Amino acid sequence: MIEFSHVYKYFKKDWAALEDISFKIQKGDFVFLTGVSGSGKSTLLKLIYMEEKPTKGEVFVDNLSSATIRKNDIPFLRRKIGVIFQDFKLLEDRNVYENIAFGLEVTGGSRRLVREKTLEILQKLRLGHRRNAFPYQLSGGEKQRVAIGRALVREPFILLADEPTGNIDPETSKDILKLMKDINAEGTAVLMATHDIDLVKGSGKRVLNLEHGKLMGDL
Amino acid sequence: MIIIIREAIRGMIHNKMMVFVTIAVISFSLIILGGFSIFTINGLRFINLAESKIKIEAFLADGLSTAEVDSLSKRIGNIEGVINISYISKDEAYKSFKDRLGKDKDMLEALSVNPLPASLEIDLDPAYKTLENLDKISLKVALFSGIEDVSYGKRWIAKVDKIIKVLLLADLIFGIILLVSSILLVTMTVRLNVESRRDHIDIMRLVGATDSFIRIPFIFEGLIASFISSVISASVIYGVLFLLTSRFKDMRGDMNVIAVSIFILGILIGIIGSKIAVDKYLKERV
Repeated sequence: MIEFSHVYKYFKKDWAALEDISFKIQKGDFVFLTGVSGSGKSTLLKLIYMEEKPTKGEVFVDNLSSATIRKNDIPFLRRKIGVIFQDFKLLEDRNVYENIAFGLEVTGGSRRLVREKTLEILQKLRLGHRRNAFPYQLSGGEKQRVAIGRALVREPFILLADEPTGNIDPETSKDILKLMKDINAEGTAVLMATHDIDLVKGSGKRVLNLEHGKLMGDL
Repeated sequence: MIIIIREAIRGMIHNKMMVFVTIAVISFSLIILGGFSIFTINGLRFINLAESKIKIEAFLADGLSTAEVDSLSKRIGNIEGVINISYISKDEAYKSFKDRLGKDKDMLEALSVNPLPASLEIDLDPAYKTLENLDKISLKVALFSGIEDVSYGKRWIAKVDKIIKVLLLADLIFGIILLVSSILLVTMTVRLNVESRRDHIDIMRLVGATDSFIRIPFIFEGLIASFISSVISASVIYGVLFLLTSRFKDMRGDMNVIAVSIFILGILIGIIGSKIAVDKYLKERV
């Protein structure tokens, strides 16, 4: 489903963000991507949703190759991938309901479909009572749940999470991780980048470890 | 479509200040451009008016018979560039001079004879009203027997000709600078508006919005902003023209043409400016 084949990414001539990365992620997998800040985790995720292209090598996502995909096809690929970030990236002028619905509206869903799906997600993420709240009224954990809701409303085959617990206290982090596991249990693959080793420990999940842009372990 | 319109209106409400600045900048540019066109159009009209008054006067020797005058007129009429010749008799010259003197006309009446010669007023095709052609034609006319003297205000025309050339060149350069800077100013303002909403655009791209979906609300916003600006500036221009034309009868504005042109130009600037600004932003990022 996702495959990296000898991928290199250089941002400057002699500055390699990623070097010779190869791995596969299958349908329904849960994979941690670990490494210190600057080890190339975000770049690797960007290569999956094709905000960046490899300097060398090839990335395959859902049968589309980074080498042959056309610019016009990238939005359609992104509709099948959910992405969440450390800083949530919510629209500050919209409430919880509208932020989640936004994920479907921009892809041209009918009003009825948008409404049904959004309400379903609000209920699933236990955000129903906060549906009219604006981002500035939410806690960090709630904001991340809204971001997850926006990603899930399009029913992606994979959820990419870039340090999703980076701005959240340890207790809430565990809740977020549990939520991600629940999402995974329903069939969505999850690739979660984190430098928080405590979250990874004892999870029993596969771990891709990056060091200075190189894949040092696939456990 | 409903979503796009809703997004555009939402964007405008959320960015009231930027929308206000955009409208102010477009209106200001259009008013300056409009004022400039009024100035140019009236300048050109004034030049035309001045040119239409340029005529060659050929003074006739005293005592020419009507047949001789007719034959002279015919021969002068054959010169290239001459379109009309009118005969001013001694009496007519005397009368018109007396009228021009006004209260000093007694001076003329004190003379016992009419000192003024009869003359032929030669009108030229506008294309021939250049200094060079006037010189050439005057020389040809002066060579006919029966012509005492030829005059066409050479020194005055030479001066005016020079001033007009400089003014037209300055007007053209200024006009081009004004138009280019208006478009640049509007594009930059819209660009600022786009930049201030980069987070919004980035999120749209992240969830899989196509470039055209992202672009249309911005262009729609540009259209609304430029429509408002066009209404404002066309009204100002119309009002100013109305006041000027009612005060100065000679001043013309072709009010409707200018107001409509400003209106259309404003909308074009708004749409093109928005499209350039959004496209540039979208191109820089994948």
